[in-house]
Amino acid sequence: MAHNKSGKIQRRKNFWGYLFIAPNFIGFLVFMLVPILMSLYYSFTDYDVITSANFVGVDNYIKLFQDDQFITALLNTLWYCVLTVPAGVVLALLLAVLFNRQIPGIGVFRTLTFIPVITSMVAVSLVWSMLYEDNGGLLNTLLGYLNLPPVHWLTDTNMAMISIAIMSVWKGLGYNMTIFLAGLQGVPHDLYEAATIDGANSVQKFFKITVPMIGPTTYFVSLMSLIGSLQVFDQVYIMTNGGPVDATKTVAMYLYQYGFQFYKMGYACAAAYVLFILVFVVSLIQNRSSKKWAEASV
Amino acid sequence: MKAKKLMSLIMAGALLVGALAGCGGSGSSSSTASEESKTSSTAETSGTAETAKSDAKLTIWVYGWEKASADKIQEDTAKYKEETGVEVTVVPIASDSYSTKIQATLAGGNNPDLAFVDAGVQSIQLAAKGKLLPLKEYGVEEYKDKFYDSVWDTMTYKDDVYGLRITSNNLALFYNKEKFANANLEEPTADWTWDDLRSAAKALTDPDNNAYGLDLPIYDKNGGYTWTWLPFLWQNGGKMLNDDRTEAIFNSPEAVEALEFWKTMVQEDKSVPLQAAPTGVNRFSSGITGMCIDGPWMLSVYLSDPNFKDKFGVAPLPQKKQQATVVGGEGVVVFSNTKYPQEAYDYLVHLTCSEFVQTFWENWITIPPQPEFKDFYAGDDLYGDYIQVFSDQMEYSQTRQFTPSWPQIENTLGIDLQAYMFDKEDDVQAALDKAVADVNKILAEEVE
Repeated sequence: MAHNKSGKIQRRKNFWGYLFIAPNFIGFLVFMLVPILMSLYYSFTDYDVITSANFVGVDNYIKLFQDDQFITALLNTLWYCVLTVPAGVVLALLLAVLFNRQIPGIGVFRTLTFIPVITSMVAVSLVWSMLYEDNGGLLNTLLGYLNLPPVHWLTDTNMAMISIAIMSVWKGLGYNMTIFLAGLQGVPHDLYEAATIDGANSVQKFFKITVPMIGPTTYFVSLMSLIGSLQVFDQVYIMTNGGPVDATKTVAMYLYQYGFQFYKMGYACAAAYVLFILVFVVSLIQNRSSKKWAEASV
Repeated sequence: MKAKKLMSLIMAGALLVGALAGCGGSGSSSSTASEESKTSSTAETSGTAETAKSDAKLTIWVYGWEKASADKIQEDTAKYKEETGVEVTVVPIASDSYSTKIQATLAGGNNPDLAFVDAGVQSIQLAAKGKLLPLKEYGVEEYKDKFYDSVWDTMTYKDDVYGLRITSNNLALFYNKEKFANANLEEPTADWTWDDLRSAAKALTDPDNNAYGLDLPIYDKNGGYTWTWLPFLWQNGGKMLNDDRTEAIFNSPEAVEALEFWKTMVQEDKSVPLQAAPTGVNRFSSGITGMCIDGPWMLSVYLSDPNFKDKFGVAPLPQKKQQATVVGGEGVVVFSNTKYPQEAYDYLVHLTCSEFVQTFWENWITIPPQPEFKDFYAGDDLYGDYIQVFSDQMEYSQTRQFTPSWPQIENTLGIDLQAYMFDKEDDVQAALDKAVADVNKILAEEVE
């Protein structure tokens, strides 16, 4: 009897629990899970948005890898990751170490670094486009004062991706730095004290204590940066629209074009799944390789 | 037990919502459409009591950003209802994603009966997918002679006609009178050749003072490139596709010359700025470039600028072997799933070929697509002279050879030509051969 009653209470409790997670769960179902599964299905069809989809097997995937432009987009995306991830992580860590001390006005510096993060990517991209302007842009004007030749920031096929990467690193720096700061504050102070007594200098302390101790943080930051970089779209769309030529065409840009400009939605879904698999595999590799490192330091 | 039941109900509800979300695109856009139509439909609710000759109800989507002309269509519906009994609801859509919205409503099947579309670019694609009403059987061909051939062509696909044109435009040469005077140059005339263009552009270029001779959309890859380059190809007697539009043929000597001409101005003379203008900056009206190639839609922009309105002139595009410009503009189509095809067709004719269209043109400055009205704006103090240049060009205007994958073709061609323009590919013939191969690949897919 007593058992039955508590079961009832438990069920009632469960009911309210489910009810409370329902909005989120329904949202997830409607806006995430269903579309994810549908796009998987569409990637095997010739869906064009307006007529019904015909099953075409793996044709889309075969076509993708026969398309020079897609290969270019893949390579561009990887190149962007190489440019942004290590630079973003290292700079953020250095900045965090720099800001991880009690000096007057430190809050101001931290805030200033964080402002780009909360600024909309659209606004940032537009402002940087102006800075990068070939004629009369701020950067080239400054170079002019120094008697240096102007740089074709966004109009040179070799430079454009680098320019976008510089902006992206700058924009993401504050976010990574904040996470590193949290990680740094979790490092026990007595370790540094002990090292100081043992006569370690600050470089040694940084590499022997700080770096290993914040292993999990580094892992998190680099993984998140990598995933974000693989999906880069907004800044490319606004600043170069994939150009000049196709120097900054990324996979996300490519699939946007096919899906929403050429209405080859099935094909675009296939491109999206290739990107998904890429993100998945890269995360997995990083997970594996970082596990030892992360565990060792915990 | 009860809780479990309720839970399963919630789950079922969630699934239902999920299923509905499958057609989410259409659902959401139709709700915005009805919101947008609310304002317009209130105007016509009066006077619905009389006995109707036809009880058809039609909905038409029009471009909302041309408000004056949309209002005229709206005003006209009352009279039209009186005459025919057909009730027309006008839905002005002011959105950059107009064509995507049409696509989305078509997916859900709750599309309007008629709509304005980008002639050729979207009409051919929709026609190929069977979404448009073929109009031959309604006798549309009796209007063929009313239109310029280049204009008529944009609404035809295979052996049928899929709409009528309401506006048109083309590209001409805008030039800065002040700059020409300062450089002691003679202003462009109808006889101008490529050489004249090039030497004037060179003379107007002074990179140290951020002054360039000519603006070309060499940076633009969304069709702007193709759209501006094609007239040069045609002026030199070249062609983009064969007559069946099954094969690209723009790697001809004529095309080589046309592309080299651009490159010479861009890379050798440096009389064309390499980068797209930053947002909000019009390089022509701000005096950075002395000439640009643009359409009549820029007239109202320049003429409403008090500092610039007296400073610019418009001339026909320069010629090489012949004169040529490219035609663009809007058409009106009927969707194949309309409940009232005959009424929709009649209304389409009323809109584009009856006297009403003149009221429309008075409010949407355009180039009349019908040669009969070549001098339609001649008396207009503000626009008359400028429009006339465009209107006179219509005679030798050509259409882009639209196929169902035009946006993709345009994009691919743009990228390949850009590679040459930006020195990524040095050999002009190789650049064009690659572009031809890429376009042919897209055309081959169309046939599948």
